[in-house]
Order: sequence, then C-alpha cells, then structure tokens
Amino acid sequence: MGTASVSLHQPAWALFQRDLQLSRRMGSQAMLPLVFLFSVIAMVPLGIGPGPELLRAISPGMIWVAALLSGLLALDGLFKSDFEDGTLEQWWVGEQPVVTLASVRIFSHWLITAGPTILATPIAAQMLYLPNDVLGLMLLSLLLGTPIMSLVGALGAALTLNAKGGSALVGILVFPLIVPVLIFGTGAVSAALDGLTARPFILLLSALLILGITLVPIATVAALKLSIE
Amino acid sequence: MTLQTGMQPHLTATEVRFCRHSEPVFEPVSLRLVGGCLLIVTGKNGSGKTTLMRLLSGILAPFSGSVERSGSVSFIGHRPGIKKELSCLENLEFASRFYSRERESGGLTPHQALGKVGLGRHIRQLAGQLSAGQQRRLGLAKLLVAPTQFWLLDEPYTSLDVEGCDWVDALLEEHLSNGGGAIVSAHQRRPHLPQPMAEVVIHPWGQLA
Repeated sequence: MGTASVSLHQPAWALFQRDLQLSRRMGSQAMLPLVFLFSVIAMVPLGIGPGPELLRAISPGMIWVAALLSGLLALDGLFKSDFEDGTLEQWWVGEQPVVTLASVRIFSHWLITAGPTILATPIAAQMLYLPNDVLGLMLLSLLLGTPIMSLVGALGAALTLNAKGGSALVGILVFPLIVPVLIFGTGAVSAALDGLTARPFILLLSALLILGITLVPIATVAALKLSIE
Repeated sequence: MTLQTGMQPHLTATEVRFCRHSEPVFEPVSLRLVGGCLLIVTGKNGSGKTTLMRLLSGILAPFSGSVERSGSVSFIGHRPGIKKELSCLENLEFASRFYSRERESGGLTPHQALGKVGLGRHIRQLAGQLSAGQQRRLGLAKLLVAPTQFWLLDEPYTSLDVEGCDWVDALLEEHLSNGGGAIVSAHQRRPHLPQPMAEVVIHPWGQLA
C-alpha cells in the first residue's frame, strides 16, 4: 500500500500538533520557564553586585544554571497530565509506533519549554554583559544541551509517574545526570571568553545528545510501560 | 465495517493471568470474541475487570497465557481519554488521526460523530467544561471517528443518564449488526440488546468456589 509510510507517521504528527495546540491553550503555564529564567537573571546583579567584570565572568554559568533549572521545573507536565486523563495508555491500543510517539512527545516538550528560553537568551546575555562575540556559541551550547536535559528529564518523569511526590523525585533523579551538560555547556562559553577553543566541549555535548536521542526514547517507553501497570 | 473473507477476525485470550506485586490478580481467564458477538465481563469490585480489559486491549502484557488480536481494537476506559484543555471538535480530530490501526471503513467525521453523541451544540466548547456524562459521551464518540473491529468498553454506563445508557445500547447494537464485536465490563447495568451475549465472570485469585 502506498499510504503505509504516511499512516505510520500520522499518529506522531497528530500528537505533535496536539501538543502545540495544548501549549497555546495553557498560555501562562507554558511561559513559566521563561519567567523563571528572567527572575534568576534579574536577581543575579542584585545579589552579587552590578560590576560588569564580575557579571561577564559568571554570565555563562548563570544562564546555563537558569536554563537547566527552568527546564527541570517544566518536567512535571511531560507525561503526568496524559497519564491522569487516560490519553497516555491509549498509546498502546492499536499499532502506533510507541517509541516514535515518546520521541515526539519529548521533542515537542523541549520545543515548548526550552524554545522560548533559547530565544530569550540574547536578552539575558545583555543583562549580564556577556560579550556579543560569544553569544553565538552560548546559543549553540544551549541548543545542544537543553535537549539532553529534556531527554534525561523525560526518563526521570516516566520512572516517577506513579510515585507519590513524583516531581521532587524527578529533580533528585535528574540533577546528577545533567551535571555533565552544565559543565560542558558552561565550559564551552568560558573557554571562548578566555580565548581558548570551545570545540572539545561542543563535540562532547553533541556526543551526549546523539547518545540521548538514540537510547532515551526506548528507555522512556519501558519506564512508561512500568508506570501505567 | 465488513468482515474480511478467509480467517475471521477474533480476539482470543488463553489462560491469561496477571500479577501485581507478585500476587496474581484473578483466576486464569480464557475467552474468545468474534464479530457480531457481545461478551459481558462481570465480577465483584476489585476482582480485576479493568485489569482484564487493559490486558485484552494491549495496554498491559499478561504474566502468563496469551492474548491474540487479529482485528483492530479500541479501548475506552474509566478515564475517558480526552484532553480537557481542547474543544470537543479538537479532541475528535486528534482521535481520528492518532490511531494508526488498520482503518475500518465507515468512520464518521468529527462533526457527524458529535451530532450523533448528542454534543452537536458543544462543538467549540472545551471538554473540561462538560459534565461527567457528556465527557463520557465524548470519549465514546472516538469509537465513531476511528472505527475498529472490536470495542472494549470498561464500565461504559458510568455517569450516564437513562437516555445515555439507552444510547450506548443503540451504539452497541449497530456495531454488532455491522459485524463488529464488543466486550463490556459491567457491575450494575447490563446492555439490553437483541443480539446474543455471553457472560464472563472474573473470580479474584484464590476465591474460586
């Protein structure tokens, strides 16, 4: 049948469009990571002083920490609402490609939560005196690093779906796993600020991302399956 | 919905068991559903009716025994499986595109389905603003936009009024006369249908008289 490949992708596409629809409908809740990012960035100069030298030195780390924490904040909604209203278990009714569905869900969640954060980073960078010539690198490191955060977080969210106090547990589970992302991400920009090459950090981030994209959806599906029993 | 020639589609469970916390839930269950038939799953509260329905639909995997599905299946559980933040129409548009099962012919458009389930005047309303009974109707409307051979309905009469219950019966009657099959779990109201129906009683583990 000529339409076989189309019908295989159709469920994933339908899920993606539904997620975008839902994020538009939720409005303020979808903006929460962005609000969080700017709260942190605006508070830093107030807390440690407005000196441009100091702020410039810590700006890569501060933006990275704020971006990761705001991503952590948004993880709770990744599977929970679908689990509670019974739409998640429908993934296994019929012939839908479940691993593809999980990948799409993680991707749309990343797009909705981390997308605005990345778009707003140039403004945050200005607020912290990050030099313009490393802004591109900052964005690239976020573009590579925040999906890893979403992937690892998805695995944590899937594992703790059924647990009481799940969202606190996700934080504890995910936190140690995203430390490398923070180190490589901050390292890339800091190295460039010191006039060194950022290449090894970017390559390491890319490697982590590829590893995550290939393995995490499979593990997430296994974890979801355990949780819905 | 037409029956394919040759091998007749069926849904067969053979000596199915399921364990929760390494404790069997119910005595092994065997059943066979073919087109045109209705099975009613009964049993006490907590006997595992819902677990059995989820096993049959493929959401759960049996601990031992096997479930064989040779026709397309849809499952409507306790939770109607609709997004409260989306409108009735958006929910059904999603359902009509999401299920990549072998499509049976004769699916209604979301508009037609909403008219048929009595939500024709709530097309643009958010599903979360509907009453519990209306939400259940919306959940059942998914059966009409993404038609399948076998319907697995877990307590479909819950929170429906008398008219709604009769309407579910009419829906089932039409489905069966078109050659489809259905398994309905029920503990209060039973379907009132002209078609033959058989009862499957679930016994909790270790309580078989």
